[in-house]
Amino acid sequence: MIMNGNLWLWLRILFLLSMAGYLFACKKNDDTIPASQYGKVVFSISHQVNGYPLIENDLIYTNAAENQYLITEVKYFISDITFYRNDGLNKIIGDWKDIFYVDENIPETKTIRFFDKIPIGTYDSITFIFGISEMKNKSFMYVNPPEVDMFWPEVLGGGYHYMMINGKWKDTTGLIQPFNFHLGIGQLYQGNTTNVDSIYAFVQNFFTVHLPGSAFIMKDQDTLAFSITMNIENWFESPHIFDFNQWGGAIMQNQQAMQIVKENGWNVFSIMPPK
Amino acid sequence: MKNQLFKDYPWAVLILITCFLIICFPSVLIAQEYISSDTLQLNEVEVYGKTVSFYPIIVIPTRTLDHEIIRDIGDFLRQGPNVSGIRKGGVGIDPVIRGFKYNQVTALLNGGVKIEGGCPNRMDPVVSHIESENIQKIEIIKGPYILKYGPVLGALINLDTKLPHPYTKPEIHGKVLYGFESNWNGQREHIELEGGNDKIFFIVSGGYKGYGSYTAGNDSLYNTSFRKLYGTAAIGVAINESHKVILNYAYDQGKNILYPALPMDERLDQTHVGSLNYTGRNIGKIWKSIEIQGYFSSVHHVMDNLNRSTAKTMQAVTTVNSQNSGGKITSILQDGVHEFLIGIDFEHVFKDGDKQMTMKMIMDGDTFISVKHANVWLNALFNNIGAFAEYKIPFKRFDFTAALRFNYNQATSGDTFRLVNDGIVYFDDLNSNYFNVSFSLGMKKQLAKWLYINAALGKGSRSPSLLERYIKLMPVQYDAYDYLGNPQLQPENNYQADVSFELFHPNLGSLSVSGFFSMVTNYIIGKVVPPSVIKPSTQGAPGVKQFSNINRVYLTGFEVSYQSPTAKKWGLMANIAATYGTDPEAVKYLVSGGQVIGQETIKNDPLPEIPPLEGSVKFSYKFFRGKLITNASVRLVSGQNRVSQSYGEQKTPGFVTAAASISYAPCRFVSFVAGVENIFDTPYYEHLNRRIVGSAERLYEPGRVFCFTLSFKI
Repeated sequence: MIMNGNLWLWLRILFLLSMAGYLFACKKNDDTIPASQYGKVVFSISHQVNGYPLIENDLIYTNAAENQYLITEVKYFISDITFYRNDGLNKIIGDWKDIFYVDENIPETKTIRFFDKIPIGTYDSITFIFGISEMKNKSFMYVNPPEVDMFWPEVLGGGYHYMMINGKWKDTTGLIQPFNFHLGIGQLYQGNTTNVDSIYAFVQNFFTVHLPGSAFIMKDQDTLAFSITMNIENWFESPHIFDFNQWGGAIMQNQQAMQIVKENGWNVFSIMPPK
Repeated sequence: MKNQLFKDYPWAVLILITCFLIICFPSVLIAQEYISSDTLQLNEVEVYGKTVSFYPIIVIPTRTLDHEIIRDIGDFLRQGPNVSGIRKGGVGIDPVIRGFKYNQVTALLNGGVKIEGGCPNRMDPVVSHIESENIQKIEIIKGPYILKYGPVLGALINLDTKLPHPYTKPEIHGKVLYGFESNWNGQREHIELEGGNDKIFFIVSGGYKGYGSYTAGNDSLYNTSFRKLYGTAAIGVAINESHKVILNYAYDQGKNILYPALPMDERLDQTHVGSLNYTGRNIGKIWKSIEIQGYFSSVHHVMDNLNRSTAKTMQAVTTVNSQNSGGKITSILQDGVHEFLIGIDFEHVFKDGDKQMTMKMIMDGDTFISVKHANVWLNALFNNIGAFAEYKIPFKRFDFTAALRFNYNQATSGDTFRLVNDGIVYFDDLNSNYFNVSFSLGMKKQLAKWLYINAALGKGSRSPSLLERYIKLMPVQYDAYDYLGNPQLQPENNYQADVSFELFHPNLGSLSVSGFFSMVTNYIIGKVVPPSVIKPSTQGAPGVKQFSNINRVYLTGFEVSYQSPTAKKWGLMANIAATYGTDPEAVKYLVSGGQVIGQETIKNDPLPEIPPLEGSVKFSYKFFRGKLITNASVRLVSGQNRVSQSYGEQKTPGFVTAAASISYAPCRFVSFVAGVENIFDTPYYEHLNRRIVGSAERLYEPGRVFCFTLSFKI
């Protein structure tokens, strides 16, 4: 059968138009984003005892309560790092990550290279939350090591440990006892028991760390490297003297002890000016 | 843009222009006599035969399937040119055709029955729910040109299962089969009974497959064992010579199927498929036929990590139930040389799944167990209504075909999950409705006595799947990232052109040279979501990606096939094929010290999971008038150095493998097939093979395998 000549012509025209539609449908994207002025920040974190770098697994330290102790592990979370600009336009780190895990035994966790671009300007101070805020500290949000190993049992409040400092101390009888100096969500128990069935409330023990002397000026394309130090001995001495012989080696189910640790945390961190 | 297109893809543009010219101005070609389709149909009995279709098609008929040892359909399909597969374990190899994968490849049974796999990680792609022993014929149609089977974006696989047929006099036939494979001590057992008369006819079958772990050519043992159990039953009634009804049911069960390249193993997978087909022929003067098909399929899928080291930290069990039901009505009308195919179809998909995570902590002698339930889908629904038409007309000098399809797609979910962060909406409005139009134009023309040219142009559209819309935190793609669905994804569109030259000569054999060019707009791909917004929930996942549309990507490639004349005692078949995929602007994340510190745009980044250039040669010789056939084949695969930087894809070295087989059918009651795969025990892996979970090592293919199949039939 031969198709009607006009119909065939129209079919060709229709097809030509549809092809032209394809070819010119590819619109150019001329949108350009104006370049903003910003710099980058790096945190280098170290752990010290009495002004010297931490030496693990050696019974060489003595705290304010005269407990001889050694440390095997130091690991914790810091989150919601905030840079306070003098014009009130603060920058909260979170464009990529907002919670950072730090582990003495994993060197790469001790250098935090922020994805966030920090706008230029004069900044008065830096703060962060030690641990994880109640809103963000959710069970099962971490499934991979090493963060997953910070899990805090659901019945004890859930989420993750804020901090684990593990080690040993010499008790009053001279025995070397293990300690788990852990901080996380506390529990309030009815009566004098620590049976999980008697928990009637939970206590959020995270706190904000203010870093004195952390003012800085960010210039365009600068990368500022801050040295942040955790002075471990401060966990045991101010304003409360923490005595392992009094509180024992495990404090996860002891809110009174964790409250002391929380209150002692105010001056644990120090910062060096950027290089 | 056009200049850039020509610069980057000169021969692809050539294909496009050639198709355009051929379809619009066929008269510019030399006029030759039309060869009837009957002559060409002979080629359908070839291993990879050609039909008279204008689109590229591979047809694998029963005779070929009977001479093959097939443990997994996805594995077997990888023999085709530009057909590859993603291996994650011993079975369940997920077909990739010309770089199109996952939902870009439509797979269905009997021209319309669809199965929605249960596993988010695609442990159970559609082709894994049916066993090769129940297959009558396989068709692979490349391109978005055939529209009567539902929305198709890149390619279509149609598996025709064995269905009962009427007999002129009462008959009953039986078949038993036993197969064995060394290396992983695989056993296949199958029994089949069929019969009936001219009114009522039936077929029942059942079987079992049990395979252990295989050893690769590098002497590594991979945990790839699996067990499968299946059965089918179908009964047909012939109302008269022109009207037939067939009721069909199939059950397929997978148990303890191990996937070393996935974070979990399949504990149980139960598939039920039922369909009712009515066929009427010669209904009226121009009303030639009508087919009405209704079907229902369901999959119950359970997977866990209980046999993995990760279970020591956290145990995870995922259970998914999915259902697919639908139907279609198709009619063929013929008035003289004008042939119209018209029809409507409907598909309804339901998916619901739950992941249970359990963590055990022992502190001071006390054991604390924390359990979390999360849904991976929650009552997710997908409806697709389609109407289609196809028109064929043989002109004096060429055949012309045009097809059109409209789809209305609607999806929703019962999710209560919402994700909005800093004003950015990631997962919120769950409802979406799309109206998609697909069309194709094709022609076939004889240029010289034995030479033909085919050209096709088409647009295929597909709406996002339930996985792409609503999945919540499961590693479902090439990388180990957890994926998050995107309820507001736009449909993908594939604008494709194909051109091929085919030479059919009774003494020289057949030679086919084809090329294609494809531009996919709204291409669906994963984009990283910052961990400050959402964190992964699967162990080993480095982060979360969300399905997103990107402006466009390009795919282009070619296939060259030669087959010697089948009438001769000796046979030669050779193929060479390659696909190239490009993302004009991909985002790469910069990592330093294990931390993401920035991102950059990469121009013309190769698409991930594109197989490399590959060729194969197969020699055969027939003895005793074809009762004994010997085969030897060599497969040569080049290295894949064109890898996606943005995906962190690894390069793959090339390899060469060889195989040999013999098939002997001394009489029509007995047949025996024996062979050896990977004769030289070559250690190799395909580019699409996934990595072993928790390592950078790729999952190797099996080493040398001796195998045989013995079957008796009466």
